[in-house]
Amino acid sequence: MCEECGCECDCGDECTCDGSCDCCSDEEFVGMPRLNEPAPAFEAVTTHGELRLADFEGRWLILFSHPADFTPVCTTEFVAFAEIYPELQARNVDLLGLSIDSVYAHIAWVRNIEANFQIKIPFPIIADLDMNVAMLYGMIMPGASKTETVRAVFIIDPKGILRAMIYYPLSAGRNTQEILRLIDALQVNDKHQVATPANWKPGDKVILPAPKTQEGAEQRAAEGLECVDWYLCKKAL
Amino acid sequence: MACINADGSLTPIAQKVLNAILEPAIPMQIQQISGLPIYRVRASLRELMDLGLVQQNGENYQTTELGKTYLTK
Repeated sequence: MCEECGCECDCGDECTCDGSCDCCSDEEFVGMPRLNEPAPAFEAVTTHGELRLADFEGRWLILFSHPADFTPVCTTEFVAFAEIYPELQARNVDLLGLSIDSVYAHIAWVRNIEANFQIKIPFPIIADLDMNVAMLYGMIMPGASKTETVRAVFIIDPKGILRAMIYYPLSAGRNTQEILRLIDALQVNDKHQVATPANWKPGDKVILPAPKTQEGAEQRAAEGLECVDWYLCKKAL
Repeated sequence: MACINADGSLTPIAQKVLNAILEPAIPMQIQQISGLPIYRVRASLRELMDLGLVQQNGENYQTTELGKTYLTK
Protein backbone atom coordinates (compact mmCIF):
# COMPACT_ATOMS: atom_id res chain seq x y z
CA MET A 1 0.00 0.00 0.00
CA CYS A 2 1.30 3.45 -0.87
CA GLU A 3 0.88 5.71 2.14
CA GLU A 4 1.20 8.93 0.17
CA CYS A 5 -1.92 8.37 -1.91
CA GLY A 6 -3.35 5.14 -0.55
CA CYS A 7 -3.17 3.14 -3.77
CA GLU A 8 -1.93 -0.41 -4.28
CA CYS A 9 1.47 -0.76 -5.86
CA ASP A 10 1.72 -4.12 -7.60
CA CYS A 11 4.97 -3.75 -9.50
CA GLY A 12 7.52 -4.15 -6.71
CA ASP A 13 8.15 -3.68 -3.01
CA GLU A 14 9.15 -0.07 -3.31
CA CYS A 15 6.31 2.37 -3.78
CA THR A 16 7.07 5.28 -6.10
CA CYS A 17 3.65 6.86 -5.84
CA ASP A 18 3.67 10.49 -7.01
CA GLY A 19 0.37 11.41 -5.39
CA SER A 20 -1.76 10.64 -8.42
CA CYS A 21 -1.90 6.88 -7.79
CA ASP A 22 0.34 6.38 -10.80
CA CYS A 23 2.45 3.78 -9.03
CA CYS A 24 5.76 2.73 -10.54
CA SER A 25 4.72 4.17 -13.87
CA ASP A 26 8.27 4.41 -15.16
CA GLU A 27 9.31 0.99 -13.81
CA GLU A 28 6.74 -0.73 -16.00
CA PHE A 29 8.66 0.22 -19.12
CA VAL A 30 12.22 -0.75 -18.21
CA GLY A 31 12.10 -4.47 -19.04
CA MET A 32 14.47 -5.27 -21.88
CA PRO A 33 15.17 -8.63 -23.47
CA ARG A 34 18.80 -9.69 -23.67
CA LEU A 35 20.84 -10.86 -26.61
CA ASN A 36 21.70 -14.57 -26.82
CA GLU A 37 18.93 -15.47 -24.36
CA PRO A 38 15.55 -17.02 -25.26
CA ALA A 39 13.23 -14.39 -26.71
CA PRO A 40 10.27 -13.76 -24.37
CA ALA A 41 7.38 -16.10 -25.19
CA PHE A 42 4.02 -14.58 -26.08
CA GLU A 43 0.59 -15.35 -27.46
CA ALA A 44 -1.07 -12.51 -29.30
CA VAL A 45 -3.97 -11.56 -31.52
CA THR A 46 -2.72 -10.82 -35.03
CA THR A 47 -4.11 -10.11 -38.47
CA HIS A 48 -3.49 -13.82 -39.18
CA GLY A 49 -5.29 -15.07 -36.06
CA GLU A 50 -3.86 -15.90 -32.63
CA LEU A 51 -0.17 -16.65 -32.86
CA ARG A 52 2.54 -17.70 -30.41
CA LEU A 53 6.25 -17.06 -30.69
CA ALA A 54 6.72 -20.85 -30.73
CA ASP A 55 4.71 -21.03 -33.97
CA PHE A 56 7.77 -19.59 -35.77
CA GLU A 57 10.22 -22.16 -34.40
CA GLY A 58 12.54 -23.51 -37.09
CA ARG A 59 12.62 -20.22 -38.98
CA TRP A 60 14.27 -16.87 -38.35
CA LEU A 61 11.85 -14.19 -37.20
CA ILE A 62 12.01 -10.41 -37.45
CA LEU A 63 9.63 -9.03 -34.83
CA PHE A 64 9.27 -5.29 -35.34
CA SER A 65 7.15 -2.58 -33.81
CA HIS A 66 5.84 0.65 -35.27
CA PRO A 67 4.26 3.62 -33.46
CA ALA A 68 0.80 3.57 -35.04
CA ASP A 69 -1.27 2.56 -38.05
CA PHE A 70 -2.19 5.18 -40.65
CA THR A 71 0.91 7.28 -39.97
CA PRO A 72 3.23 8.41 -42.75
CA VAL A 73 6.64 7.04 -41.73
CA CYS A 74 5.16 3.68 -40.68
CA THR A 75 3.37 3.41 -44.00
CA THR A 76 6.66 3.85 -45.91
CA GLU A 77 8.24 1.23 -43.65
CA PHE A 78 5.48 -1.30 -44.26
CA VAL A 79 5.83 -0.84 -48.00
CA ALA A 80 9.61 -1.32 -47.60
CA PHE A 81 9.15 -4.47 -45.49
CA ALA A 82 6.69 -5.87 -48.02
CA GLU A 83 9.21 -5.19 -50.79
CA ILE A 84 11.95 -7.23 -49.09
CA TYR A 85 9.54 -9.99 -48.07
CA PRO A 86 10.51 -12.32 -50.97
CA GLU A 87 14.19 -11.87 -50.11
CA LEU A 88 13.46 -12.66 -46.48
CA GLN A 89 11.49 -15.77 -47.42
CA ALA A 90 14.45 -16.97 -49.50
CA ARG A 91 16.56 -16.63 -46.33
CA ASN A 92 14.11 -18.64 -44.19
CA VAL A 93 12.95 -15.48 -42.39
CA ASP A 94 9.43 -14.54 -41.32
CA LEU A 95 8.20 -11.06 -40.44
CA LEU A 96 5.86 -10.12 -37.61
CA GLY A 97 4.77 -6.52 -37.06
CA LEU A 98 3.33 -4.97 -33.89
CA SER A 99 1.70 -1.80 -32.69
CA ILE A 100 -0.72 -0.75 -29.97
CA ASP A 101 -3.66 -0.67 -32.34
CA SER A 102 -6.68 -2.93 -32.77
CA VAL A 103 -6.76 -5.76 -35.28
CA TYR A 104 -9.49 -3.84 -37.14
CA ALA A 105 -7.21 -0.81 -37.47
CA HIS A 106 -4.45 -3.10 -38.76
CA ILE A 107 -6.77 -4.70 -41.32
CA ALA A 108 -8.04 -1.31 -42.52
CA TRP A 109 -4.49 0.07 -42.79
CA VAL A 110 -3.18 -2.99 -44.64
CA ARG A 111 -6.05 -2.68 -47.12
CA ASN A 112 -5.34 1.05 -47.46
CA ILE A 113 -1.67 0.38 -48.22
CA GLU A 114 -2.66 -2.22 -50.78
CA ALA A 115 -5.01 0.27 -52.47
CA ASN A 116 -2.57 3.19 -52.44
CA PHE A 117 0.71 1.40 -53.16
CA GLN A 118 -0.46 -1.70 -55.05
CA ILE A 119 1.51 -3.94 -52.69
CA LYS A 120 0.14 -6.65 -50.39
CA ILE A 121 1.28 -6.85 -46.77
CA PRO A 122 1.89 -10.59 -46.56
CA PHE A 123 2.98 -10.87 -42.94
CA PRO A 124 0.93 -10.82 -39.71
CA ILE A 125 0.70 -7.80 -37.40
CA ILE A 126 0.15 -8.09 -33.65
CA ALA A 127 -2.70 -6.02 -32.21
CA ASP A 128 -1.07 -5.33 -28.85
CA LEU A 129 -3.81 -3.27 -27.25
CA ASP A 130 -2.94 -4.49 -23.74
CA MET A 131 0.77 -3.75 -24.45
CA ASN A 132 1.76 -7.20 -23.18
CA VAL A 133 4.23 -7.96 -25.96
CA ALA A 134 5.46 -4.37 -26.09
CA MET A 135 6.31 -4.54 -22.38
CA LEU A 136 7.99 -7.93 -22.71
CA TYR A 137 10.28 -6.64 -25.43
CA GLY A 138 10.93 -3.12 -24.12
CA MET A 139 9.30 -1.53 -27.14
CA ILE A 140 7.91 1.40 -25.17
CA MET A 141 10.31 4.20 -24.36
CA PRO A 142 8.43 6.65 -22.11
CA GLY A 143 10.69 9.52 -23.14
CA ALA A 144 9.46 9.07 -26.71
CA SER A 145 5.87 8.03 -26.00
CA LYS A 146 4.05 6.16 -23.25
CA THR A 147 1.30 4.97 -25.56
CA GLU A 148 3.17 4.10 -28.75
CA THR A 149 5.92 1.63 -29.47
CA VAL A 150 9.18 2.96 -30.90
CA ARG A 151 10.62 1.49 -34.08
CA ALA A 152 12.19 -1.64 -32.58
CA VAL A 153 13.52 -4.63 -34.50
CA PHE A 154 14.22 -8.00 -32.87
CA ILE A 155 15.89 -10.78 -34.80
CA ILE A 156 15.12 -14.20 -33.34
CA ASP A 157 16.87 -17.32 -34.61
CA PRO A 158 15.21 -20.67 -35.47
CA LYS A 159 15.82 -21.91 -31.91
CA GLY A 160 14.01 -18.93 -30.39
CA ILE A 161 17.16 -17.12 -29.26
CA LEU A 162 17.23 -13.34 -29.51
CA ARG A 163 20.21 -12.56 -31.72
CA ALA A 164 19.97 -8.84 -32.51
CA MET A 165 18.05 -5.73 -31.52
CA ILE A 166 17.85 -2.36 -33.25
CA TYR A 167 15.97 0.67 -31.97
CA TYR A 168 15.01 3.67 -34.08
CA PRO A 169 13.22 6.80 -32.85
CA LEU A 170 9.69 7.72 -33.84
CA SER A 171 10.93 10.24 -36.38
CA ALA A 172 13.33 8.11 -38.47
CA GLY A 173 12.20 5.25 -40.69
CA ARG A 174 14.22 2.04 -40.77
CA ASN A 175 16.66 0.90 -43.44
CA THR A 176 15.40 -2.49 -44.59
CA GLN A 177 18.60 -3.14 -46.55
CA GLU A 178 20.53 -2.92 -43.28
CA ILE A 179 18.11 -5.43 -41.74
CA LEU A 180 18.69 -7.79 -44.68
CA ARG A 181 22.45 -7.28 -44.32
CA LEU A 182 22.23 -8.10 -40.61
CA ILE A 183 20.28 -11.28 -41.34
CA ASP A 184 22.92 -12.28 -43.91
CA ALA A 185 25.70 -11.58 -41.40
CA LEU A 186 24.03 -13.63 -38.63
CA GLN A 187 23.43 -16.55 -40.96
CA VAL A 188 27.05 -16.45 -42.20
CA ASN A 189 28.28 -16.17 -38.60
CA ASP A 190 26.37 -19.31 -37.68
CA LYS A 191 27.15 -21.35 -40.78
CA HIS A 192 30.89 -20.69 -40.89
CA GLN A 193 31.69 -19.81 -37.26
CA VAL A 194 33.20 -16.49 -38.31
CA ALA A 195 32.57 -12.81 -37.62
CA THR A 196 31.91 -10.05 -40.12
CA PRO A 197 33.75 -6.72 -40.31
CA ALA A 198 32.25 -3.23 -40.41
CA ASN A 199 30.09 -2.62 -43.45
CA TRP A 200 30.39 -6.27 -44.49
CA LYS A 201 28.11 -7.43 -47.24
CA PRO A 202 27.64 -10.86 -48.81
CA GLY A 203 30.69 -11.80 -50.90
CA ASP A 204 33.13 -9.77 -48.77
CA LYS A 205 35.83 -11.46 -46.72
CA VAL A 206 34.96 -12.52 -43.18
CA ILE A 207 36.95 -12.34 -39.94
CA LEU A 208 38.32 -15.41 -38.22
CA PRO A 209 37.94 -15.58 -34.44
CA ALA A 210 41.10 -14.25 -32.76
CA PRO A 211 43.39 -17.00 -31.40
CA LYS A 212 43.07 -17.49 -27.65
CA THR A 213 46.61 -18.74 -26.98
CA GLN A 214 50.12 -17.62 -27.88
CA GLU A 215 50.59 -20.90 -29.69
CA GLY A 216 47.41 -20.25 -31.65
CA ALA A 217 48.61 -16.76 -32.57
CA GLU A 218 51.90 -18.14 -33.94
CA GLN A 219 50.03 -20.80 -35.89
CA ARG A 220 47.57 -18.21 -37.28
CA ALA A 221 50.45 -16.05 -38.57
CA ALA A 222 51.81 -19.05 -40.46
CA GLU A 223 48.49 -19.98 -42.08
CA GLY A 224 48.92 -17.65 -45.03
CA LEU A 225 45.66 -15.74 -44.42
CA GLU A 226 45.11 -12.06 -45.11
CA CYS A 227 46.20 -10.75 -41.72
CA VAL A 228 46.76 -7.17 -40.57
CA ASP A 229 48.11 -8.70 -37.38
CA TRP A 230 47.68 -12.01 -35.58
CA TYR A 231 44.34 -10.96 -34.07
CA LEU A 232 42.79 -9.58 -37.28
CA CYS A 233 42.76 -12.10 -40.07
CA LYS A 234 40.28 -12.29 -42.93
CA LYS A 235 39.41 -15.02 -45.40
CA ALA A 236 37.09 -15.44 -48.34
CA LEU A 237 34.27 -17.91 -48.00
CA MET B 1 -11.57 -17.58 -35.13
CA ALA B 2 -9.16 -17.93 -38.02
CA CYS B 3 -10.52 -21.37 -38.98
CA ILE B 4 -14.29 -20.98 -38.91
CA ASN B 5 -16.28 -18.29 -40.71
CA ALA B 6 -19.19 -16.48 -39.07
CA ASP B 7 -21.62 -18.79 -40.92
CA GLY B 8 -19.95 -21.87 -39.43
CA SER B 9 -18.12 -22.89 -42.61
CA LEU B 10 -14.39 -23.52 -42.79
CA THR B 11 -12.05 -20.73 -43.84
CA PRO B 12 -9.85 -21.47 -46.88
CA ILE B 13 -6.85 -21.92 -44.56
CA ALA B 14 -8.68 -24.46 -42.40
CA GLN B 15 -9.76 -26.32 -45.54
CA LYS B 16 -6.16 -26.50 -46.73
CA VAL B 17 -4.96 -27.82 -43.38
CA LEU B 18 -7.73 -30.41 -43.02
CA ASN B 19 -7.22 -31.62 -46.59
CA ALA B 20 -3.49 -31.92 -45.96
CA ILE B 21 -3.99 -34.29 -43.03
CA LEU B 22 -6.54 -36.77 -44.29
CA GLU B 23 -3.55 -39.04 -43.75
CA PRO B 24 -1.40 -38.43 -40.62
CA ALA B 25 1.32 -35.83 -41.11
CA ILE B 26 3.73 -33.69 -39.09
CA PRO B 27 3.60 -29.86 -39.31
CA MET B 28 6.51 -29.62 -41.78
CA GLN B 29 4.74 -32.07 -44.12
CA ILE B 30 1.50 -30.15 -43.72
CA GLN B 31 3.36 -26.97 -44.65
CA GLN B 32 4.69 -28.61 -47.82
CA ILE B 33 1.33 -30.08 -48.82
CA SER B 34 -0.73 -26.98 -48.05
CA GLY B 35 1.76 -24.30 -49.08
CA LEU B 36 0.97 -22.37 -45.90
CA PRO B 37 3.63 -20.75 -43.70
CA ILE B 38 4.64 -22.96 -40.78
CA TYR B 39 3.30 -20.46 -38.23
CA ARG B 40 -0.13 -20.63 -39.83
CA VAL B 41 -0.02 -24.42 -39.87
CA ARG B 42 0.81 -24.59 -36.16
CA ALA B 43 -1.76 -21.95 -35.17
CA SER B 44 -4.46 -23.60 -37.29
CA LEU B 45 -3.73 -27.05 -35.88
CA ARG B 46 -4.08 -25.68 -32.37
CA GLU B 47 -7.44 -24.10 -33.16
CA LEU B 48 -8.74 -27.08 -35.15
CA MET B 49 -7.80 -29.41 -32.29
CA ASP B 50 -9.74 -27.21 -29.85
CA LEU B 51 -12.74 -27.54 -32.19
CA GLY B 52 -12.36 -31.33 -32.35
CA LEU B 53 -11.67 -31.27 -36.09
CA VAL B 54 -8.08 -32.52 -35.73
CA GLN B 55 -6.51 -35.12 -33.48
CA GLN B 56 -2.87 -35.46 -32.50
CA ASN B 57 -1.05 -38.76 -32.20
CA GLY B 58 2.55 -38.21 -31.15
CA GLU B 59 4.02 -35.75 -33.65
CA ASN B 60 1.37 -36.55 -36.27
CA TYR B 61 -1.90 -34.76 -36.86
CA GLN B 62 -4.96 -36.11 -38.65
CA THR B 63 -8.42 -34.84 -39.56
CA THR B 64 -11.13 -36.36 -37.36
CA GLU B 65 -14.43 -37.77 -38.65
CA LEU B 66 -16.04 -34.50 -37.50
CA GLY B 67 -13.42 -32.60 -39.47
CA LYS B 68 -14.22 -34.62 -42.57
CA THR B 69 -17.90 -33.75 -42.26
CA TYR B 70 -16.96 -30.04 -42.21
CA LEU B 71 -14.94 -30.56 -45.40
CA THR B 72 -17.98 -31.93 -47.19
CA LYS B 73 -20.32 -29.12 -46.04
